[in-house]
Amino acid sequence: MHNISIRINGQPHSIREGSTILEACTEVGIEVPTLCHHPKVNISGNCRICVVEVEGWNTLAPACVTPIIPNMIVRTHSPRVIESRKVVANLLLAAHNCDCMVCDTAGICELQDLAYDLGIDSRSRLFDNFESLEKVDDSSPVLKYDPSKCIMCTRCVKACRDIQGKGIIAVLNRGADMRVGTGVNLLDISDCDGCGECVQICPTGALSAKFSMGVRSWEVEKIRTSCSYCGVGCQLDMWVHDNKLVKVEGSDIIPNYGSTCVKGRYGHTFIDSDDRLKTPLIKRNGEFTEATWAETISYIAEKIGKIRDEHGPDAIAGLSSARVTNEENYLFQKMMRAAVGTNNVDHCARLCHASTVAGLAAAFGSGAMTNSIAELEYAKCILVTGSNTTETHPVIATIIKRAVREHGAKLIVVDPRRIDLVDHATLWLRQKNGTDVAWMNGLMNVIISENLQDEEYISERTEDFEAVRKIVERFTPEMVEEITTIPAEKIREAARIFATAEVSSIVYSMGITQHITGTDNVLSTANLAMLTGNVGKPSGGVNPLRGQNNVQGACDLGALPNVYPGYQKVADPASQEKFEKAWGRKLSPDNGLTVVEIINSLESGKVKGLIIMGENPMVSDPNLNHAEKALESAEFLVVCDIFLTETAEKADVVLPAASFAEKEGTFTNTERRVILLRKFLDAPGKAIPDWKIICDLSTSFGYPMSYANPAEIMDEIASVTPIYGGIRHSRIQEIGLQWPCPDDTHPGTVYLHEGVFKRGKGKFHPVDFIPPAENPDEEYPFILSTGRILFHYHTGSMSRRVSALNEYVSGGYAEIHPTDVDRLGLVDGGPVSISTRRGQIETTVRSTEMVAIGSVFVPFHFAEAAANRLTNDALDPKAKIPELKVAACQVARIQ
Amino acid sequence: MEKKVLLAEDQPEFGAGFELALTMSPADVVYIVRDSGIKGRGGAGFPTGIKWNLAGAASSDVKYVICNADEGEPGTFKDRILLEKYSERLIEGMAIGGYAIGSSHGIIYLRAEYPYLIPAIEEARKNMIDRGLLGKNIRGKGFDFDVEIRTGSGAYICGEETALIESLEGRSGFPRNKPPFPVNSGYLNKPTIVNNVETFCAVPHIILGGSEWYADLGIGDCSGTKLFSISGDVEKPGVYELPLGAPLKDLLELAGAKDIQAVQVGGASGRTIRATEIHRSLSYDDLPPGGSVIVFDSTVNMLDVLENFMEFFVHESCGQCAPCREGTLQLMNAVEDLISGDICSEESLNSYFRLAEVMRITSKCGLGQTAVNCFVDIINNFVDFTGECVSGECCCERGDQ
Amino acid sequence: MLRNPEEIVADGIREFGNGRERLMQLLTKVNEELSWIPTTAIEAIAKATGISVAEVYSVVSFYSFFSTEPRGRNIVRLCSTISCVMTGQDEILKALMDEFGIEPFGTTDDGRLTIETTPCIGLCDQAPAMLVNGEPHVKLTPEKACEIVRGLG
Repeated sequence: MHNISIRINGQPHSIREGSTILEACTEVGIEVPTLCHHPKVNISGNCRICVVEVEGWNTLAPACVTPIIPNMIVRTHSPRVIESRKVVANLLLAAHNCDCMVCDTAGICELQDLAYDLGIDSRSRLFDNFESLEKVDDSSPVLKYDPSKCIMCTRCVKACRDIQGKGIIAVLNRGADMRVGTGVNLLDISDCDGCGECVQICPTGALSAKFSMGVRSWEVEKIRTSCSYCGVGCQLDMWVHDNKLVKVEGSDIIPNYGSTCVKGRYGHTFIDSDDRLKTPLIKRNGEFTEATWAETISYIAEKIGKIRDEHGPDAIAGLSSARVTNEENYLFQKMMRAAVGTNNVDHCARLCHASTVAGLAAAFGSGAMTNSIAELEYAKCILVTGSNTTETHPVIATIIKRAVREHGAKLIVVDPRRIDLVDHATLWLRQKNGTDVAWMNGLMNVIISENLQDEEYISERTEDFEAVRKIVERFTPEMVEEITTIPAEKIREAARIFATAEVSSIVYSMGITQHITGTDNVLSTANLAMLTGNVGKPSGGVNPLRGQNNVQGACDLGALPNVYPGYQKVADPASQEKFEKAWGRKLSPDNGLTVVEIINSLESGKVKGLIIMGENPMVSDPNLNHAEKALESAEFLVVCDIFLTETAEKADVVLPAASFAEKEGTFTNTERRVILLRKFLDAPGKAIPDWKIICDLSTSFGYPMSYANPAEIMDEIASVTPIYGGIRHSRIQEIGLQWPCPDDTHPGTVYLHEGVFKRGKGKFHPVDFIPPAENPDEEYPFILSTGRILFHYHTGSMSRRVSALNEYVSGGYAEIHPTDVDRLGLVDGGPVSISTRRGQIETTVRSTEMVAIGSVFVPFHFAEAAANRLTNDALDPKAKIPELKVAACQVARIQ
Repeated sequence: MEKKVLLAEDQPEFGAGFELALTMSPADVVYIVRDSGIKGRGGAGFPTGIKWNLAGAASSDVKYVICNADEGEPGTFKDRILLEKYSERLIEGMAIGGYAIGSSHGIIYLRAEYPYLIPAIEEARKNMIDRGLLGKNIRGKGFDFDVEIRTGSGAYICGEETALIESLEGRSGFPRNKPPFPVNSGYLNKPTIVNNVETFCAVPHIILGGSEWYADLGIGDCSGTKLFSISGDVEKPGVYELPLGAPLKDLLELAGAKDIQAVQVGGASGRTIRATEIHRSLSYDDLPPGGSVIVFDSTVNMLDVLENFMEFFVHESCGQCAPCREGTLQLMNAVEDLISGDICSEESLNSYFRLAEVMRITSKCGLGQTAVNCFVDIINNFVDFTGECVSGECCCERGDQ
Repeated sequence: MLRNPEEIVADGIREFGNGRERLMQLLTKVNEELSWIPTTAIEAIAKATGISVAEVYSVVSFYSFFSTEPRGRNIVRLCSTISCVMTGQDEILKALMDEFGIEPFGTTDDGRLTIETTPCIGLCDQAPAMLVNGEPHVKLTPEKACEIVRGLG
């Protein structure tokens, strides 16, 4: 593209060919007003506000859609242009409900700004007002549409369809009757999931949050921070007034570029719930009593000290948290290791991605997403397996949908449930639960037998391929069909698509990891990616989506029993020596216990004292009945949280923590990006940030800790953690840095293993198929699987305190196929009993073809119908991750 | 006076033009059409040869030839006559177009108001197939062509070529931003020519008669003949074929217009003139000859006519661009105020005249740009502001009768 | 006996395919067979074509000949443009409304008849005119129009 000469307002300019007049004007600093134009969506050219005069043309040209041509003479503010803008603005105002005085959008309304800029007051209005005060659709729990304020710019329709990939709303009717709507239904019974992309992009008050901010837009302060829900790490602008969060907008920067999900935008009201913990509580005679921080800390010191003195440091364990900051995780494990003297520190990553860390570290040398979120948009084939991305990582799902819609990627979904992404997929393979190694070996069998593998890549960059070639020989598509029930032809088709695409990416989540063969499954994904030469290049790779906001960081910072920060091995004497030197204490050379082992050891009495920071194992752990007993048998239990959770209720001491809103620090999102958390509210009562609590506890344990702020903690992290060597708060004020980032000048790493794997050569691991620990039988004939849903989060301690989210889903349920519903005499919406060898729950039937006949899915967020009373705590031998995704169960009517 | 070519009693055999075209190179066919000077017979008047040349030059394996049979301009029915009697000529013209630009796919987009014409078109297609003039490897020239009939569903805007394409693609008929033009990116983003029924029907005659012959049919700078549908206060309403560039009064005489107050040329979006102007010519340079001519005698209240047309535009505006969606509604409002007497001077209409001019220069497509014509013409030419305020509440000063 | 909408859609998909560019044909088929386009048909088309329900609805609502409300099995469309108005369209409309007891765009209680007005139907040379189930009727008088409509099944 070369430049061409044009004149704008008399001045000659040289502008890149292919630019629009609007782009040209912007480039040379001439402001042309726009209304329907928005950089995030396709240009509609509808409002005609940006019209300009082009010499020799009969009509005015809309600057936003008109490309420049050589020697074009453009006038952006001639009398004819100004007259046109005024008349068109008058038309829009005549059709608009100008209730600006009581409109939440006042001050940020683009129509209001335009009227102001053009000086259109009520005396100079050209036309009678025509606005129809048609009914507002406020049926959605979170947003509302007021047609009388709509200017038909259609940004929202495009945002819903093109950015979010949903197409819930469309332009209805024609001419003056034109409206935005869902057509068949109002918003509430449509598939609208309340992400609010449309609200954020609406230039007026037509689409707005259902509940008024209660303050004017100019009275708020906007503070950017990171979302506290899932691992996407959306950047959010928090609108704050008088120590109250009044509105949330997605920040228009990486990784979410303005998008959020319903939880990110509307799910933060839990922060000022009345039942936030506001003061330390000590349980005396079975009752919690309020206490001061000083007496509480010394009480803990006394109790923990006693256990350590009597039973040694390994009788104490700590559960760190994927919910708190990097700095807090670092301090927590440092406290456990240096102050208490044990490696018994773990966190819920054990229950989600322990097998990823084990498997990918073995295959590649690093156990994280190899590539970045944004790269997914340009993958030519995306294989999504064991991830209901739309519900668990909503913003990433929008990127996958865009890869398909906008860039022609082929999407292959391999999942036992008919998840939303199936609607966007080229191919859906419905495997029997727990047969993942088999289908992946099947894919590899086809690729090798059809000679579609990347020989050059295999020979230059990997080792031990022969062993895999040998083991997959048996896994012919027909044999795989028998194990997995996926038709052989689909195995072949998927293999061909995956192997022949220019670049293929594998995206997975808990459906792969939460099995007794979790590590094997992960190794299989690595084998498949290496076989086709897809690791170490843009838009390819193996991409485990991390579930929690900071599960990546909690792992990175050593909240694991076998590694120090930065995955430096406890078992490696050099690492031990390094940290002994850095921390000034002798450290234990023995690997500590994992989550499930800690729970088991509580029951056996090997572990007596447990400190839990921000976790809720009473809902999240497998085989809850067992976990409950174990927690009850603890001699001394400390829980630090923002609410009195099911777990906190069992505690001897409860410490009130500041929430993410009330502290500073960093999270590391699923793409290894270290992102900043900013304080935007004051903590309630006596609640203080976890890092301060840890400092006090550690000091009371005889290992003084003191930091001025989290930035100082990060400096210490950088000094001992090579992959975080260049991470400083000062460097991530705007956008985060992706590790590895070894020094202060390193720009961070977008994708891993370029040119060479972290471990040198990529290592193939032959993996054979092993069936799940528990299979359906006559007594327990159904396959039970558990997982997350969009509207709630993890154990629900945050999301279930958000009334809007409860309006979407208020309690637990079990997805059962309509055929089974009929066969068992159940009723959609009626009660049902689900039981396994470990426990039983009563919940509500949701009759849906999402699940296969003979399968049941239960979301695990709901303590009163806790899925984890049913789940199996059989472990993967390598990663110690429990098999949360497969259990045999009974489904029965409740009389 | 009438000059019948398309409607001639004695016509060359259907297919003869196509057979002749097949003996030429596609480029030569384009040149003949170009040199004939024929302009789009739908009303917009874009030179057909240039359109075909651009589409022919566009590189693509797949291209489309679309016949715009969405004749919706009020007062227009000439294409109905052609479709009824000359569908074979139409398909022949489309096939020539396909041969010229390198397309094997023809689509006739027929308005939903003409479903009863489908059998005639289908029969024409069948005849063409039977005679080996449609299908694969036609006349052994390695050229394939066939046509498909698709229907609209009651939307005037789909006569706009990009709205028509949107409709064919399964969308609401919202005109596209241009560029790109259909010749480069039309139906399914492939190079596409969209021509009116009458244009396609003329093409075989041009091929057979030669470009000079065709050009000479017209008067002055105008090429060829043109079909006019005439209705309203005339004795013999119907379709007449005249040399393009003929004076309007010739047509009025043929149709037997006696008492003339006003004549609307080019339909609701055309111009409305007084009886004193009937010497003007029906040509792209004077009175744009869309195809419709409606005559109003002295008994007609032209404000009622205007109201009828503005209702039409409010109903038919697609609504996507602000000036047309809101502007047609405001003009309708003005007409109602005129009728009720709430507006009774040209001055008090000032903001509506401003609006009309802005709609003309800022609307996205021809609908909004020309919807103002009847408003401006009828008010300027036929509304006599005598100061008679019917409501007695209007803002302007009252004059004495 | 009217077929159910899903069946008609399935038939349409077999006949035309499920590409987006076939949407108008699918909708027209349903609209002609049932006189209107029920929600179930919209949903079935959305499912078969991969277009969202809202988008299908949006297309339906754009075109005047499609209806999302039930209409009579006979549809009369009386031209409302000037050439027909000048030749007595209003008396015809009034006569039809009086005889059949419905307003324009109304449907008789027995589901036999819907009367609509529509812009120019291209029969101005034989005004006033109307389409009855797509068939043209011209040079109408109030009596002639009523007689035609009376004779419908």
